[in-house]
Amino acid sequence: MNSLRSLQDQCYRAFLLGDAEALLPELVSREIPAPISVQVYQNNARETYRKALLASYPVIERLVGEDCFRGLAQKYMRDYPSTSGDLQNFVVAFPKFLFELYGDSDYAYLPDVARLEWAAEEVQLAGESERIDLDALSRLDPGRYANVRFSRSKSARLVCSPYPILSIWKTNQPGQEADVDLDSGSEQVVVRRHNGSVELNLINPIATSLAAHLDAAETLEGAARALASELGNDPNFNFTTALQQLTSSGLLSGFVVD
Amino acid sequence: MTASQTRERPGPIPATAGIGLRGPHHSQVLTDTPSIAWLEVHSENFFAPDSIAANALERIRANYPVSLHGVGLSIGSAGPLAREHLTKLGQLVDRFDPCLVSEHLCWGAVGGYHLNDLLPLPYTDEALDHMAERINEVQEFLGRQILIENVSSYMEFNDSTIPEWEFLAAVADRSGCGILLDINNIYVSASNHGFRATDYLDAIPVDKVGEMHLAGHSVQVYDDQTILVDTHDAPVCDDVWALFEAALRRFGTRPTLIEWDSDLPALTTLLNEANKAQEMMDKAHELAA
Repeated sequence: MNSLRSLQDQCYRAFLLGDAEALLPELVSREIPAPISVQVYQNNARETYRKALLASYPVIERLVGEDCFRGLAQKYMRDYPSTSGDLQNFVVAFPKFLFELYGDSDYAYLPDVARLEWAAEEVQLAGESERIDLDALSRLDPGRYANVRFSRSKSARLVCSPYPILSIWKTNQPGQEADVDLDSGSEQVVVRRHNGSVELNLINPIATSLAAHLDAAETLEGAARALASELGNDPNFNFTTALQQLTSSGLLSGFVVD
Repeated sequence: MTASQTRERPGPIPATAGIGLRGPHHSQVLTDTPSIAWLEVHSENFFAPDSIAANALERIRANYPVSLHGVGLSIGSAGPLAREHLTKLGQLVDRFDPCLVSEHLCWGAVGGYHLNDLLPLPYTDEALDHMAERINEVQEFLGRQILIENVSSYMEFNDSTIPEWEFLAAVADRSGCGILLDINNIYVSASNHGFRATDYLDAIPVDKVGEMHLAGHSVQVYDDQTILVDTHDAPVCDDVWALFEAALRRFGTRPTLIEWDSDLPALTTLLNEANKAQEMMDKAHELAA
């Protein structure tokens, strides 16, 4: 008699890895022939994982088509096998998987769109942060602005791409039909949870750069200097405008003054 | 959560019909507060404590008795129990004070890898010892009794020496857990493996059954072989309703759930299925009186 562990190993190899040689002699072949039993569980696994990915990445499915998505799901479940009883954890690495497949191809926008879809999922799972108190910020003594440090909202994500990812996302929602010119330029998107729903909005690239400098644990003064150095004589650069866009985007949840 | 708030929550779950609550119906249940005695949710869908779904369940729980039904703990897996998963379940139990907590008579992970399926065990003495011990561990951790549900199956092991129904009864006897009897799963497995569904019912101790499940299944064909698969994507079929009637005669009325997970229909469809179950339960109750 096989140990419980041994039988379970054999099932895993048969159902997930397609190697049923060791399992087949262990199965009863009466009403259901053993090879059919294996096929049923293999099919169940493929469907479970495809549906889990589809629930989080419906735009990717629409972009690549059902058959291709089915193939991607099968490859993904082997390359990134599930290590959790919670399927939410299984789908996390799908953007990385798509980048490995398509990062250097004409379909390099796919992993970025997947990152956007995952961000929308992630903010639904995260807590809802307070919005930054703009009144308190405006009341602050201007002499202290230099030492302001901002904190990021846990209910917002910034997704940047050289591709028009928000336009792609919007035109691939149910009922939408439109072509997007992939060469129409980059888009930076703030995905945030607000009042129990998820919003996706574009944000100015300069505000995005400011957010990156603030992320580097810099004070407002430090971030302003770094941003000015990065942008040089860019005629579009206006620090106050960038800060206003950033504070109204939902990416920031608060501030402290050193 | 204060003690007074906990006391205000509805419960326990009556011996009436309820429905499985899934994400797309959360907002409608919150706004319409439909007339249904109780709701059951999948535990794993609420593991993120601050998620939109968990916040919705907090408000839903204020209006309805709720049962937590786990699909990922893999109690029958040979490796160590997934403590992180169990810890999250414990946090959920503490927070939502569910009226029932249930898991499955199954395994689903090996060597740290998960199949995310409800896989049948070999019905052996080793598996029985293991399952009873692990259910004890879960119950001790949670500080409460859980119900264990029979699963649909599409394979049987040559090593099995105990009929599934005797195995389930023995697990309940040795661990002290209750039984969640899934009528559709009995029907599916009986059809696939050629046993009599009523033999299954007859072997289950009446006093152990704490809940029943009803669901739809699909008929799939593999190389000319017809298999019933527990897909939870269709109405309860006539044969399963008939088996439910037999279960009511044997066990009396129990909290009974309409489960529907894939191709989720409008909420009213689920409520209509629950009404049908309730009518049968009322009739059974009258006949027994």
